Amino acid sequence: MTSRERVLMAISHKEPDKLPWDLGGMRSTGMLAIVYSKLRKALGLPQEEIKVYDVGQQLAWIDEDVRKILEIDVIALDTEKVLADYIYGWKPYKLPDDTPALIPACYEVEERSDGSKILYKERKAIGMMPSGGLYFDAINPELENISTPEEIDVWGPSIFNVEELRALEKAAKDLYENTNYAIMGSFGGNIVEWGQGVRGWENFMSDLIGNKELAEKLIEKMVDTHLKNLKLYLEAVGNYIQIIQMGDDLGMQTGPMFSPTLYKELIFPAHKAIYDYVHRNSNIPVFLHSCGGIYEFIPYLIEAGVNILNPVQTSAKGMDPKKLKGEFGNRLTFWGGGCDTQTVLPYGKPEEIKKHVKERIEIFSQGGGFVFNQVHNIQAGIPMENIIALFEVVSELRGTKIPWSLRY
Amino acid sequence: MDILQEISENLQKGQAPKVGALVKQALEDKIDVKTILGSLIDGMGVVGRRFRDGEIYVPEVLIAARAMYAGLDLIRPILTQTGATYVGKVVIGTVKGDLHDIGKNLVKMMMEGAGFEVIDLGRDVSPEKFVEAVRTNKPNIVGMSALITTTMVNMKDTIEALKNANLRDKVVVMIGGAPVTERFAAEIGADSYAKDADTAVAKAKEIVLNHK
Repeated sequence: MTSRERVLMAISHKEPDKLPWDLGGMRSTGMLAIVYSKLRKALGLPQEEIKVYDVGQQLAWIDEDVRKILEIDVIALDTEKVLADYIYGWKPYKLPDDTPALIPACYEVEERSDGSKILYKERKAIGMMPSGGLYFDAINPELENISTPEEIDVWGPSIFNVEELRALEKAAKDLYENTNYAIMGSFGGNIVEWGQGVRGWENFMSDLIGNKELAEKLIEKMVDTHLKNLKLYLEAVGNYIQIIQMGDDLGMQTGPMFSPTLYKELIFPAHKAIYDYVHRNSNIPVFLHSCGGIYEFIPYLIEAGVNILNPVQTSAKGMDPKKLKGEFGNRLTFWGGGCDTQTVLPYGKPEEIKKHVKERIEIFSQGGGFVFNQVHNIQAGIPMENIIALFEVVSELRGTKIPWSLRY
Repeated sequence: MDILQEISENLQKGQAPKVGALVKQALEDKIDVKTILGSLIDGMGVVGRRFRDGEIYVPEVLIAARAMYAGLDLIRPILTQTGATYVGKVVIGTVKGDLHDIGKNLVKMMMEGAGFEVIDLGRDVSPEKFVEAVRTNKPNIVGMSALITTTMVNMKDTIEALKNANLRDKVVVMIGGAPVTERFAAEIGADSYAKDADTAVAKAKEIVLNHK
């Protein structure tokens, strides 16, 4: 069974020959570049220049040699990575621990005298990494200071151009014809996250009830933009990708970010319009990344057309693995939830991690509908022996063995 | 309806202009400024409890807080003038290396809504800045927040810095944030851990009461 067949079988709620495993198939299932460079060492691989394809989160592109050794089943068709490969190129960059790396050449990084770094794209300052920090957090929301719906009319979010679409098509076709991986197309389609991004978090959250007219107009514009892009995207890559990845964080550690009633009224119609378009125009299952305690939203998400849920943040309120699998397991594929990265992976002993991961796999993999991934990206500072324990137990259960180098 | 009750109820509904207008009217009616503050505290208290119990969510809290500030901003200068005392004083900030301030801002709103004076140092706050603020403002409590496991260790550095500046026994250290636990608080020698904004306020009240 090929990786592609294995993943598709799991998504169709049947148990494949072995557990499908994702690492880096999208921007919340991979690892930070800092820790990835240590993984390469642990695998005895030469230190190639690491491609930091997600500059904000400082995520490493998982190279082909690593994917082969670990026998990962999924590969990302990541739009920005594709554009860097085909259009912008890559340029030198240093990780926060000074390891040499590469970033897409469309970014500039400015180091300031206080040790902080500012990230620029198209001459606009879009991110900031404080001194001693590990990530670029977004700054300068474009629509932070607007107050009337009319001001949204002049906002012009970007639509794919021909050159970009050609690059995406070429890259997707190449992956489809020359690899056996399940290909995940990174579309996005965010509504809440985008709204929080352009308005500022508190502004958008307040708009949802305090300035509803503005929120509605903004959501309408976002949906309109997504649908225009989605049409072009599916025309370019729809024949090659097996999964389309959407994202919208709806939860916090303590539960839903807003009430289920508010979700149903304002956000659900937007999600449904986007996911419905995919289902009407293709057979590609819809993958949604949504962090936090989102238990209350799951029935709506299924109704909106979500087929696959990630990252299944089991440490957040209401996200008990058994309850989730029992209530939604026949309608939803869980892509994640395989290892708690807030408590177990950073603080557990290797043996505890292995036990925990085995329990999770037992719960989630029954009857298919599960692709293994830890919950979200593997962060910097996680002990290497813990990462080795995580990968080792997964490969053991898949009947394979990772050839670790003794030199890590 | 009693105007004070009207202030409280409009605050709970997040009606900022209404709360502003009512507070102005209450001042014109010569209602004691501490009594007016009491109605704002009452309203935010209800909001905090409903948020804690899962009856309302973040958007409702945010617009209620905006309404609270619409009133509080009008009476603050008078409170200062008349020397009316706050419940207590809190210095708050997100620790060094961390730009995440949503949780910290919620705690600040709730603290102000409970009648505390809050000095907000913002985010990416170095141990030195915390120490300086404690020295200058002499707060009852210093509150530190972190969202990232790699930055929460900076809470320990801040506690060390307070010790080195001989200020550790002059202030109660309260910490919170998604990766922070009771155990971590004990490990690094913090005095108090709050799992959410409502708990932070309840504990802060208790601390101030015990120290008076």
